Amino acid sequence: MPIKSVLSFDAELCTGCRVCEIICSLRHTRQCNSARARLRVSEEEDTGAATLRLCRRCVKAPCVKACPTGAISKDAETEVCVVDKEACIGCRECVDACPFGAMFFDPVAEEVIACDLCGGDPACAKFCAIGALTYRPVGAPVGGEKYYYRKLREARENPVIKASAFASALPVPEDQEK
Amino acid sequence: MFGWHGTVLNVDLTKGEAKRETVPEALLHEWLGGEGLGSYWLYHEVPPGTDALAPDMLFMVMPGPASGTLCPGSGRLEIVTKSCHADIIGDSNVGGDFGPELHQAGYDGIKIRGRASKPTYLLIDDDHAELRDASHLWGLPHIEAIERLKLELNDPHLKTLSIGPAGERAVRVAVCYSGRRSAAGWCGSGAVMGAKNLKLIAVRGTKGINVADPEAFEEACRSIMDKMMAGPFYWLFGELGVLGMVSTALRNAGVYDGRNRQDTNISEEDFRKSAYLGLSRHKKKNAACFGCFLHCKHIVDIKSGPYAGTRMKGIEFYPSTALGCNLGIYNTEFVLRAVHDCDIYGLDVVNTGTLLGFAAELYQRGIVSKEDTEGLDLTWGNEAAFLGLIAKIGKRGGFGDVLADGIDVAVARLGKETRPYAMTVKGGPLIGSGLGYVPTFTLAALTAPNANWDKGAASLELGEGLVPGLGEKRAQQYFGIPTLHPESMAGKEKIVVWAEDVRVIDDSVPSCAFMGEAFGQGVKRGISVEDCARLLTALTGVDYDADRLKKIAARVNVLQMAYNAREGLRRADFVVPERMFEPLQGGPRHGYAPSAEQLYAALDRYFVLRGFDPKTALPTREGLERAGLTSIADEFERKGLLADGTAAI
Repeated sequence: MPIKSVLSFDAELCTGCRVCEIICSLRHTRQCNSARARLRVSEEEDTGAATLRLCRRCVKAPCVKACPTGAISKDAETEVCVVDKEACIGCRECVDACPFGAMFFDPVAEEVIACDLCGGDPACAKFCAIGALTYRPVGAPVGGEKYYYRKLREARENPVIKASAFASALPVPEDQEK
Repeated sequence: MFGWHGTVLNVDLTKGEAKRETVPEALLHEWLGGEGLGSYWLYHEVPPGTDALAPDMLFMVMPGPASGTLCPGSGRLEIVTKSCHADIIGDSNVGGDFGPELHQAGYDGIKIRGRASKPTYLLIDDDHAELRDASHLWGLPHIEAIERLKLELNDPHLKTLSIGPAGERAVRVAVCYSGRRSAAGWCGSGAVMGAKNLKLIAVRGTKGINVADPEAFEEACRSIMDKMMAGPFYWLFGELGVLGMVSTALRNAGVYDGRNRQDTNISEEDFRKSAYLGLSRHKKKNAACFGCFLHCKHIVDIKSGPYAGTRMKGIEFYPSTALGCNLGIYNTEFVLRAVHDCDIYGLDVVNTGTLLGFAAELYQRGIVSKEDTEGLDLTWGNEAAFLGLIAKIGKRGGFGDVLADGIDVAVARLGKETRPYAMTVKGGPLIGSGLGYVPTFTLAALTAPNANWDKGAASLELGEGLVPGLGEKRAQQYFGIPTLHPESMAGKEKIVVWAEDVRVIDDSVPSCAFMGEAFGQGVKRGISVEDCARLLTALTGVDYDADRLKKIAARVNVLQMAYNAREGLRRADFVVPERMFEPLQGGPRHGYAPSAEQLYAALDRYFVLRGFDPKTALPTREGLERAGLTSIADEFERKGLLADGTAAI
C-alpha cells in the first residue's frame, strides 16, 4: 500500500514553540515530557533555523534492518514503524541507524518509540496553530497561499481590524522594499 | 503527584551543597508556584533588611505547576529575589525554554543562597545536581559561556540560565538570561546571581510532568486555543508581536515618550522607522517561547547598513522605546544593535535605556560635560556615543561606573539637582510610553509591589477605552465604574487591583501575561482566570475555581506589599516624577495635563482596597487577615508597624 498522507513540515513557518512535542507525549504517555515525544523540534535561537526530527516511514527502513531481535515491523497499511515491546531489548541500535534521528529512546518507559501517526489522526498537526506541521495527502499540489498567510490576510481584511489603528501597523509592500 | 513534583532544589553556595528537599503539598496548593511560592519563601526565609547582594539573600528560580506542559504560554519562569536597585521585592518573568526543562527535570523551584568562594555553575541532570567550577566561563558573554559548556558537556540541547560580565561585576541593572536572548529584566536579577559567584545554571530534564486528567487538560488547553484563534486579533498579535501591538496602541492613543519623556508624541514618519515597521524590513520569521502558540518574537537579520551582521531573536516593546525614541533615535536598526550590545554584557535594556536617557538629559542641560563622560558626546540621537556608554556601564568603566548602580544611586552621586530628570518610581525604571497619560499604567507603576511597573498594567484603556460608547459599556460591565477612557481616573484603582491579581495568577501558573486578559489580549479574548482554574484542576487534580485563584492572587499581592513595608517602603516613596503631569506636547492629545491630585487620590483608594493605610502604606490587621495572613499581622503588631483598623480616606 502506498503512503496516503504525510506529516509535512514547513521550516519557514515553525516558531520553535514545541507544542507538538508536548501534545505528542501527553497523548502517548499521559505526561507532558518532551523527552518522551515521538518527534522533536529544535530551533536555533538567533537564526530561527528550525529542524524537525520525525519518522519518514521509509520503505527500506534502516531501523527495521538494524534491530537484532526483529522487534520493529512496518504496519502494512499506514507504514508506521511498530515496536514490539516484548521483543525490544532496549539496545538503541535503531536510534543510531535512523538517518533522520527520528527513532527515540523513551527514558521513563525504557523502550524505543517512533511516530505512529496517532492511529491516522496526528495530534501534533492539530495543535500546530500556524500550520507549520500539517497532515496532508502525499504528492498533493502544495501551491497557493499558505494557511498562515491566508489567515493573516483575512485578519487584515476583517472590518473591525480595518477600522482600527492596527490595519496601518502591518507592513505594506513599499515598507518591505526599502 | 500531578502537576507539581513536591521537590525543590536547595542550593547553599557557601557550603557547596545542592540538596533535594520535599515541599509540603499544602504549601503548593495554597501558593501555586512561580511568583506565589517564591514570594512566600522570600518573605519567610530571608531575614528582614537583607541587602539584595548579601549572601543571605535568596535567589529563586521558580517554574509553576503548568511549566513545560500543554498550558498555553507555559514557557514562562519567575525569578524571585530582592530587586537590587530598588529595595523592594524583585520578581522578574522570563520566557525561553529553561523553566519548562527545569520543571520537566522534576523540580518546583531552585532556592539559592550563600556565596561561592570561586566562580561556580550548577548542573542539573534530573535527580542529580552538582556545583562545578566555572572559572573558565567567568568573564565571558553569556552566549559564549553557554556554547562552550554545551561543547564541553557534549549536549547541544542543554538549557541554561546565565549571566554576562555585567552581572559578575554586580552592575545593579544586570539581567540573567534563559537561553541566549530571553532576559529576566527589570529587577537586576543578574547582579544577585553574580554576587553569589554563580555564572550559570544548566539543566537537562527527562522526568516529565504527570497530568491528573489528561483528556480534560487537553480539552481545557484546546478550548483556549480555539477561543483565541477564532478572532482576527490573534493573527495580528502573532505577526506584529508585542512591539507592533503596544507601539500601535500608544501611537493611536496619541502619546509616545521620547528624549527622557521630554517629548510626548511621535511623528508618523518617525513612527514608521522606529517601531514594528522599522523592524519588519529585517524580519526573517516569527519565533516563540516554549509552549506558546502566540509567537510574539521576531527573528531579525540586518543585512546592510552600519549595523549589518546583527542577527538575533528580539525585540519586544520596551527596548524599542528605552533604547530608541527615549534617546532621540528613531531607527529600529540601532535599537536592535543596542539590545545586541546589552546582551554582550548582560544588561537590562529597560534600566539601561533609562540610565542613558537620564545621562543624555543631564548632558543637554550642561549638568554633565564631555569631560565627565570621558569624551562621549551624549547629544540626543548620537548613536555611537550611546553604544559607547552601554559598554562603559557593562564594564563599570569611568562614567559608566557612576551609572552602574542604578538611577537612584546615580542621582545620589551626581547631586540632588539631577533628581527631576530621573524617570523612576520606587527605584525602578518607568519606561513605557503613555505613562502619565494612561492612568492605569501610571497607577500600576506606583502600586506594583515589585520593581516591574507593568505588573498591574491593563491594556483595556488603550483598547475598548478609546472606542466611544464601548469604553463606558465595558467599564460598567466589568468594574462598575463610569468609563475606561484614559482621561478619567474614576475607579481606575479597581482595574489595577484586578490586573495585578490576574498577573499573579499568570506568573504563578504560569501562563504568559501576553496571553492573559489583563495585560495582553483583553477581556474575553485571552486566558481568563476561569480558564486557568479549569486547566489547573485537570492538571493537578486539586479543585480550583476562579474564586480560589483570585484569593491566592490577592494574598500574594498583599504579602509582597507587606514585604516591602517590612523593608521600609512608606507612602512617601510612592511618587512619580513631576514630569508625568506636564501637559502633552503635539499630537491629538496636545495640551492635556494628567492630574497629580486625581492620581494620588486613586492611589489612596488602592491602598484601602488592599487593606493598607493610605497615609503610611503600612498594612492593617483587617487587610492582612482578609488575605489569610494572620501570622504576618501578629508580626507587624509586635514590631509596632501595624496601621490602625480600617483606615478611611
